[in-house]
Amino acid sequence: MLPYLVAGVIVSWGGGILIANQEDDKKRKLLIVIVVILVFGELAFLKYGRMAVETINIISSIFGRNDIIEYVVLLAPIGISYYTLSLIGYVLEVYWGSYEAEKNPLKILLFATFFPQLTSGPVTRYEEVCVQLYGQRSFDYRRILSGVQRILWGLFKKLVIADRVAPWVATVYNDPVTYTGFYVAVAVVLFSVQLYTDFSGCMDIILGVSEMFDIKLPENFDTPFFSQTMAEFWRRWHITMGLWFKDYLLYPIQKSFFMRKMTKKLKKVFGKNASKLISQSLTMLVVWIAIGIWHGGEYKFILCSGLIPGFYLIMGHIFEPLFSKLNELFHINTEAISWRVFRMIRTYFLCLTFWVFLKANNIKHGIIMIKSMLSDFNPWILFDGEIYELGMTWKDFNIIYIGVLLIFLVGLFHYNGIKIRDKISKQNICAQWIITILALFSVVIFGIYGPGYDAVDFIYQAF
Amino acid sequence: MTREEVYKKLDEVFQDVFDDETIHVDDSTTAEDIEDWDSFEHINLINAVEEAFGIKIKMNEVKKLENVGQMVNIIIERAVEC
Repeated sequence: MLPYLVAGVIVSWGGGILIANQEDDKKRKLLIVIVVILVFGELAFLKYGRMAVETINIISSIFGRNDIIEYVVLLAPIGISYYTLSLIGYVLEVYWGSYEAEKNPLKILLFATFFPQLTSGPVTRYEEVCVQLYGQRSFDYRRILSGVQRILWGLFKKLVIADRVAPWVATVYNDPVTYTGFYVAVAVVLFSVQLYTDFSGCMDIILGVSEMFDIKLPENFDTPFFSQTMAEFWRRWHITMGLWFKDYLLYPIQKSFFMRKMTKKLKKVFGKNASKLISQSLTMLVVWIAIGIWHGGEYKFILCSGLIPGFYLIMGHIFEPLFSKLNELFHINTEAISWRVFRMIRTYFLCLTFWVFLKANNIKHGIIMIKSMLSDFNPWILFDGEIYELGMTWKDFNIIYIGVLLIFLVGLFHYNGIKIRDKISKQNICAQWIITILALFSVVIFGIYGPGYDAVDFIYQAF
Repeated sequence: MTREEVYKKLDEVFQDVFDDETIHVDDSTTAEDIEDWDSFEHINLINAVEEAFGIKIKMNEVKKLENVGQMVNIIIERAVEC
């Protein structure tokens, strides 16, 4: 697997130098296209081969021929999806003249594979991390303690919450025929808890480790469940990925000659506002399909991480003026807390509709689960103890309730600009240590781990 | 082109892009000051500015523009080059 990684780094490093040294615009364009195709091609070859084979077989089955191609499993280097984005970002910035090409290939290698972020991101940008990675680092006791506190917070999310709900969620998702109605509804909500605590916990650990090394990586989450719209949600959830696709795909498409020409032609036929909406919707569709494909070589990812969230965003974009007029018509106070809470809950429910497919074994299972939630009415399982028979006792459920409440409160402080670790750092050293040790013990006592326990992989490690 | 001339033309571009004839921009105007100025409108605005002034704004500049003042600096620099 190492050769793939080294090949990606060498192509990006060499490509960057060639592009920077080339003065002819046409040749520069050709070079950037070749480099992007090579770097992205490696990811596509290793991760999307299965999808390509499936597609060919589906099409061939329509013509009466079954399984004409057999899929050979290829092992992809760990973190390939993340470092591919970072490397493509680097060469595009060199092409756009944002900075000089790096001459030392080892620096590009370190940028792509800095160990804490290699497996799950955040997607870093060269200009953000290069000075930090290659400069001199200093030892700071307070920073180490602060980093440890963030790691413990991440471990709390992962070991106490995410890994506690994982078996329950998996049981229901793996057998949506047996477990119906409210089982599915609880599993869908619990999966959202698992997904957030797993992914954001992973980020806390990564950013905490980096902080200890005096390296500040970009944040990937900013209290996403306080978002009032889907657009805001995507500015707060998996932030670095969203920014990457905005800067390196959405902007270039929207600024492209083709899109400008098409918008002008549409303007003549449909008028200014409609032509804008059509071209923006088309761009969003392309970007969200790309995001879906990036998440993995399966159709369900294109649906749940691409088409559905993209559809919500496009609809939000189209109907936003209408909603504003309706709010005015009905004299709705859009600044009232009740209205804002309603919008936050609505955004969360919209997220649940695509996360169903993220965890489901396939699209068919996802549809079965949605149908089951809407048709089977069995709320008594919440009260007669049946939900405690799938690997989580009432004690486990209570730990989840308290843990989620704690995460919500910390999020609420954060949302209002109050950072807990800043507050802790202003306490006396004795109090800081007591808080840190209490956090450690809460992870040790309430965490799910130990002999016989198979730790659940971080969800986003798979992408 | 003088800064005043650029602003006169730029006001028209902003008013056309955001469909609001009351918009008047200055050096310190940012996306925060204009309600509809999101990622898409940012690119629409850049496209409209490029056409109105007959200049090219590079992708790395598109991402880094912090206020209208920076945009005007680029326009003056490129308009002179043209």
